[in-house]
Amino acid sequence: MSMVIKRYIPIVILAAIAFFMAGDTLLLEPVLNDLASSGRSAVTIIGSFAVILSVVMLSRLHVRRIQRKTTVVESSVLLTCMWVTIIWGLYRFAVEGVSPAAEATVQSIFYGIVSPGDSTIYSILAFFIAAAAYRAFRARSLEATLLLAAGVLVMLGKAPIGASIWLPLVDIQNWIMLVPNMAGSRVIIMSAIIATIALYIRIIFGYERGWMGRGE
Amino acid sequence: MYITDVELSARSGYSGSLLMFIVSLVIVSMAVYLTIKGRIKPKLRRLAGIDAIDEMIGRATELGRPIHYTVGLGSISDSQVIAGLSIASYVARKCAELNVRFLFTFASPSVQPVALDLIKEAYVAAGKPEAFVPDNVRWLSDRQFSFATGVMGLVLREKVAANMLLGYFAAESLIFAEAGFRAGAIQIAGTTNSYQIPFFVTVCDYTLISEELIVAGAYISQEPGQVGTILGQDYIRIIGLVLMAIGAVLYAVGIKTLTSWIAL
Repeated sequence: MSMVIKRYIPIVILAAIAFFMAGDTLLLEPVLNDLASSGRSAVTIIGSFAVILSVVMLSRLHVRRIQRKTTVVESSVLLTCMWVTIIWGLYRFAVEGVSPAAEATVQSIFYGIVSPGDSTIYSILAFFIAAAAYRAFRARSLEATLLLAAGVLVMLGKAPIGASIWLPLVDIQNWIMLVPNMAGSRVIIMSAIIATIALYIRIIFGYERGWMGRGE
Repeated sequence: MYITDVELSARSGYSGSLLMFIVSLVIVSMAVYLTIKGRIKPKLRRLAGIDAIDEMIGRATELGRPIHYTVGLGSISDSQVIAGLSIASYVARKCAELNVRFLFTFASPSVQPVALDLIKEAYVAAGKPEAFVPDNVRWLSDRQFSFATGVMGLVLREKVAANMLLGYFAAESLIFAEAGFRAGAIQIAGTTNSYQIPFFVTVCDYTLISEELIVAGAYISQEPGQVGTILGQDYIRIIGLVLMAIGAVLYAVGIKTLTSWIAL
């Protein structure tokens, strides 16, 4: 019985909903479209509850770290910021009707800690790209040499100095981006779409069970 | 009443063709049926990245270091995340069998209940339910670069032996891959995002390009039903290519019947 509940009932529910949503996408039926719209709202609401689970588990992890005295400062900062944002933001919204987007403490935490942190990490990306590009552009093989040549031509074609050096570089850059690059990108997109169709059919038919565990 | 392509365009967020949906369903179903009945035995080409997973876990066992696995930024409704979770289930089971610590990270909270359940079940299937540590399944943040920071810190602090990046990735892909490279980890990455694939190819040891990620779960399982769908998608691809070629020629000479027919 437990196997039926855990394995087959989810697959039946999933298949029914999948066909229902496919019908909504492909057919113009007001009743069906309205029901599907309500269904999507319900999914969003249910999904929001997953945030609570994630917040609880993250808090538990960092409380343990503080107890074990492994990352006391980092974990304390994280827990303080997270719970002040949640509790103070909810309190101000529920009692005083202040939107979290306009609440001073919540906004201070966001613009004083989260936002600069995000920007710092994003700027580190530039150095990582340089390091990765150096490794990729070393002409160790025919493919790497082609990549190096294409990269240099595109960079020169895009930069204003390229046109000053040799005007046709702009056309060469355009051709590389619009013909071989575009063809490659479209192959990747099309193959992904076809594979996704097959994946969803595997899931609907219950063949693909990896996402719900494989235990016997 | 059918929705025409014009109506589909007008309905923001909707796309599709009833005819193509039914044709795809019929083709894949037939391929699955024929494969299950044994009338066709599809031969799958080797996927070096997937074949190397056992080697990665073996390396982690020898080094006594953990394995890091992430499905990236996507939510549970993303096909890349679903594919990533299918592979994660296999990797978690192997890790449980070989007593390798399995660290799983993700950005969308919607992944958490599914990931917790399937990884726990992988440990149960390996006969080691007591070895499952829920804290190793970690939600770090749903903000892109906060999540990237968390993953980078985790990979470098834990000095992971293998870094597996299989799912939905955007600009943070290179941050993950470079962190793994600096930690000296053997790396496998896979995504369908064509903008991130070059970064992964450059930095990682193995890359699953586009559909290779989506079919990896079926490739690992080798079940006839799943392998049949791979055959089905190949049939769809061949039919699509033939129709594209015919359509291009007909369109060039001014006949638009085939294009209108397909858009039904």
